[in-house]
Amino acid sequence: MSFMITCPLCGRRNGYEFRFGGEDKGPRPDQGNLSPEAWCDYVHMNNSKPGVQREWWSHTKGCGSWFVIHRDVMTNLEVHPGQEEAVP
Amino acid sequence: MTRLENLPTLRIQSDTARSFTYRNRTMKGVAGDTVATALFANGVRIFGRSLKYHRPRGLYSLDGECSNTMMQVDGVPNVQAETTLLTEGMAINPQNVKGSPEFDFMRLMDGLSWAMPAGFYYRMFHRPAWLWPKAIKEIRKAAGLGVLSPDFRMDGHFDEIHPRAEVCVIGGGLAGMSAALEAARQGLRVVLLESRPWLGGAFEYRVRKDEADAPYFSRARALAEVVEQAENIRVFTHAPAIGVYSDGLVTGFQKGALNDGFTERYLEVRADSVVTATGCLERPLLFDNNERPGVMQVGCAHRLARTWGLLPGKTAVFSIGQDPGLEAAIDLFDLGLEIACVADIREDGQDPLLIDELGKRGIPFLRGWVAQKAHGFGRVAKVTLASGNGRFRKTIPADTLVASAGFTPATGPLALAHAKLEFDVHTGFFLPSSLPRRVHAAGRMLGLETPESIETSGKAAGLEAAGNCGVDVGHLLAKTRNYLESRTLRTRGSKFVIAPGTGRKTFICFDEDTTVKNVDQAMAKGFDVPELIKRFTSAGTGPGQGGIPGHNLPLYVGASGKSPDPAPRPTTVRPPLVPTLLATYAGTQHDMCKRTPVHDLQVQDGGRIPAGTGRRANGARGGVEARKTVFGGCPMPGGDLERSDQRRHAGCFDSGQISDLRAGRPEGSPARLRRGHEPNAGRQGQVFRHVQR
Repeated sequence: MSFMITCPLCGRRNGYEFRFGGEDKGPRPDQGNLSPEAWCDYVHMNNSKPGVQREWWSHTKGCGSWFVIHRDVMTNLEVHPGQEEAVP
Repeated sequence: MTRLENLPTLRIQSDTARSFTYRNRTMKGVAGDTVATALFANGVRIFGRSLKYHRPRGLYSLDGECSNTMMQVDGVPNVQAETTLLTEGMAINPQNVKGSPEFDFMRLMDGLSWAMPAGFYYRMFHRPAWLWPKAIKEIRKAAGLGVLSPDFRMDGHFDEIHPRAEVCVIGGGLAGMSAALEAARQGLRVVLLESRPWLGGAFEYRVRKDEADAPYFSRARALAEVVEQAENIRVFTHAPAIGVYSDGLVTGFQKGALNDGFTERYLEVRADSVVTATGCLERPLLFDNNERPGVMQVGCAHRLARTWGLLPGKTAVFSIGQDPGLEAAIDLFDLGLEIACVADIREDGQDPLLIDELGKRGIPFLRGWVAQKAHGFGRVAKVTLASGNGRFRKTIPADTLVASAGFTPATGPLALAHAKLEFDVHTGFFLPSSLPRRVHAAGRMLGLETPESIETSGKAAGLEAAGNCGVDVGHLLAKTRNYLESRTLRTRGSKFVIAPGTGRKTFICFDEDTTVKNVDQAMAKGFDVPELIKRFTSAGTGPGQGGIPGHNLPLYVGASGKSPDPAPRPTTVRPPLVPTLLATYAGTQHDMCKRTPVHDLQVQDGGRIPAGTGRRANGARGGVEARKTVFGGCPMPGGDLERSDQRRHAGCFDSGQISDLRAGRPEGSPARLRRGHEPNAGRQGQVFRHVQR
């Protein structure tokens, strides 16, 4: 985690201060008619595609907030949403 | 051994003695000595025995490029004698030695090298199957480096710091210092890392004069003074960089000097832009017995005399491939070393001034000749030189052979930063063909030679780095680049790889005892890419991290014509570039935990405190409330507590009776509790975070 991450509250900080929270898989599926398979997929299946992915991070050694960033998993750098160029 | 005195380049204080013990004998060094030079001054020539063949090994380079001079110092194994400064009362012992370094009982292993072909570890003694477990025990007994006693405790104070800077410069030579100064002039914060205990790099000990008639060393030292006094440059000396990562993260460690508050400290520099100005290593010359004690690199022989006042021997033969080799021969002759012969593997292209100087001193000079074999038991006694095509030979008695195939850039940090390196035919260097974002290279590693061009390239890199940080440097940078281009003359480096007619005892990697013959065997087995040959022969996997074979291996494989890859490519390097103590990585106390207000009371009362983020006592007795929570409550609005627990911790819950889910809840305990059990607080931190989300 040598890269840097932009926390919405604290700004751009050292990656070591953060903790990974997995891919952002969108909102939770509706609880009402949720089959065990669908829930299992939601919990355990990841896209794991090369390129930019949305993911959850927590600023555990800072403000403690949870947020979503875009990261290019090929270069391991945070990118602006919809852009190739890394931050800043 | 008497030291040379009154040289302006010396880094020792001869009047301040430091006593130490070597194999329980008391010896004396002086302040400023490294462990290696102090031993050398006391007549030690064989520093240890090699890993596989137990061959004698001595001083070869002075920058810790190989394991030749790794020693056991104060109980710590594998200490680089060349890069460790001597302190009072050190207890030093050789490694991998049965008996003494001079008479090692295992030296017969050298004669058994035929039984240990490339990859023998994977091929021999595997059948019948019962043989291998027995064989592996014996192999491990015979080979090895230092010994760590089971009750050993590391002394010293280890620290870590995380400096933040706009520009981080790796390498404190002329280029690195110029880059740092230029960036600092733009008002930026600069961190400068230098692996030697002082700034100045390759110019800091040379007495050759530049265009303005000032010796190189005074130029380097004048610049070093300016850098040290500059306000926004933070200089770390004796601090090798060990890793370069994305987003400008540079890691390294610094060895503490006498009055520093730390033994070693881990550095983690976060910069907006990185300049690598790591200069060059000497490419080892490949010939028979090329690691016999008495064989050393040009820089080693020159620095021994100029920095530590020690002549490398009595009579020397030089076999070199670069102008600074000629320069060293002339300088060492003037300092009193007898020089039997200088062989230069280049047919032409030498600096005519240096040839003149050699002639004036009556030193025999052979163009296009090269060392073919070092003779002598335990140390060099004679040297056989051969013409480049191997037709003519002569043998000269000498106790020192200064050998080097030329320069090769120290590409470690650049490679770690994912720069693409390509072989350049003119310089014979691996030059960066594309640099990653916000990483710049400068200086001698680009094939520059004169101090002026090196300084200018450093300035240009400093300006580029400043440009990354939002400073408008366009005009200044264009001017510097133009100037650089008008003055640049890239070294026409030697591409020479191996002396003719050699191979069986020609070591391409000293750390792992890999010979050129082993590489041939690997190629015969079908391993045709340096990266595979490295795995099969283990060349370059030793503690020197490819410093010795790093560029020779791909060049040798390339020259063999057996590689499918037309362009030689260096093998991958990985952090740490320099062997780092685990204690340095561990740093200070990292165990951050939360304690209950009654923690001390519970400890007093005999409570056992398990590890984890939240510390609370198990089995505390009477009078102290054991179930104090650390976090207080963790609110769980709505939802079904039990089901949410099941989802977060699939399979964690046994089907037993649940005593008190609510009592477990505030601790964020991951496991459900059976009646009468205390909550396990081990993973409290993680669970708390997930509940929060």
